[in-house]
Amino acid sequence: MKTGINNLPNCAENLFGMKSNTSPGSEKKLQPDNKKPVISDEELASRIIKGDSWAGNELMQRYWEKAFNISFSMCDWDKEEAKDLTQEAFLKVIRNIKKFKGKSSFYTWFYRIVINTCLDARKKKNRWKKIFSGWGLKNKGNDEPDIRPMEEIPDTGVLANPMTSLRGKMLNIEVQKALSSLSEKQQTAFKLKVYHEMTVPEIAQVMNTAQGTIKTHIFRATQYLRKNLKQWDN
Amino acid sequence: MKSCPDYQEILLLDIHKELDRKTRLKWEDHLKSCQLCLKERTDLQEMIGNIRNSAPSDRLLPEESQHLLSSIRQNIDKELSIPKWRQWIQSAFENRVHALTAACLIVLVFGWFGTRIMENPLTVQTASNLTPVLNSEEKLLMQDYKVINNLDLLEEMEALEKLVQVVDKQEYGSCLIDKRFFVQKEISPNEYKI
Repeated sequence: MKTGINNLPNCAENLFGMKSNTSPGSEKKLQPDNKKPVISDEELASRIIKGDSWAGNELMQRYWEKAFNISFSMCDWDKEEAKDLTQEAFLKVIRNIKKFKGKSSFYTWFYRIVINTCLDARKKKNRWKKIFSGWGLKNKGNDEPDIRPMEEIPDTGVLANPMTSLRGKMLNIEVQKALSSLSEKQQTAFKLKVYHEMTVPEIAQVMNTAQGTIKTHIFRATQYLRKNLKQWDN
Repeated sequence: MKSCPDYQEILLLDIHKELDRKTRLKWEDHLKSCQLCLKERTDLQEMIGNIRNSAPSDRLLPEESQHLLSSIRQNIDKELSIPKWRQWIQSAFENRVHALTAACLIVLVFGWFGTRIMENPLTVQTASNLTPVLNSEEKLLMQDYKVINNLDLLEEMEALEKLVQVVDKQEYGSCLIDKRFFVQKEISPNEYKI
């Protein structure tokens, strides 16, 4: 997945004026470049449980971008919604940090929260849509997927001429329409694989599902898209 | 999909870069001799590439990034400064199942106590509470009952009264049982003579 331009300084100290706060007993590993001690995610988690706000900010620095990327792809490329979902996901992480038992890696647990937050938001949105569509407040039929208009979709990151950009947007709309016909799990597995280039074992851990099931989801989504996007060949 | 049925799964694994080395060698060998699978592989790779490239950019402007980070930071600081008892209440409310279960239990407990109180109302025993509550008819009957119960006593009292009258008359002259009873007539000494 194309990553955004990160104009932020690398070190949390420069951004927030905070001093690194490493206790003698903490797990540390040295970075070869700047030889600064790096605290592990698990150590940060245990500090957050004790109420260390610096640890909370450090965690945010490490994961905010990835959390935003995932939210952005999961909420149909709506930046504002992605920002809200990113904030909500971080809040949930802080509130439930005590539940992290260390059975999986921290980032797997974190991404699981982000994805579940996005899926919950989508379910809530669909529920409201069903309620209001029954009252005739929406002109669209219930079967038609709610795809954002082309003008609202941000441009692709690839520098291209307007025609290519338009083609990209049109293809994106078709992809969203096709994916909306699939189940939530198939959509999520496909998006994590294609847009975020996660491996099948990683996706299986994040979605808390068996690897074989994840492969089935991805294969079915790929075959379905292959069938529905045939007109886009060449 | 237009590919050999035996190699469909391998084709998809190859597209998504999940093939292990051993299977890859076998697959590459097959591709050398099968044009159908080779074409399908090319088409699928192109499709996946187009889908990936058509995804909108997730870049945030610097001010957007700053704003998002500061919002997240504020929320984190706010969350960490909440006292533990409030965090517990918040988590209880967030977990709807637990909250509903707790609410049902509270309703059951209070309902049970309430029904017990309704069946056995608590009363403070006073003198008026000792006698049962009666309506007017029952009160009249009660009075009659008292009179009947005390009838013998009343008859005896009446007889005693008459006796007193007779005795006093002999000793003190006629006297009525009224306030004049207490006014003694002066008796001459000769009256006692038989």
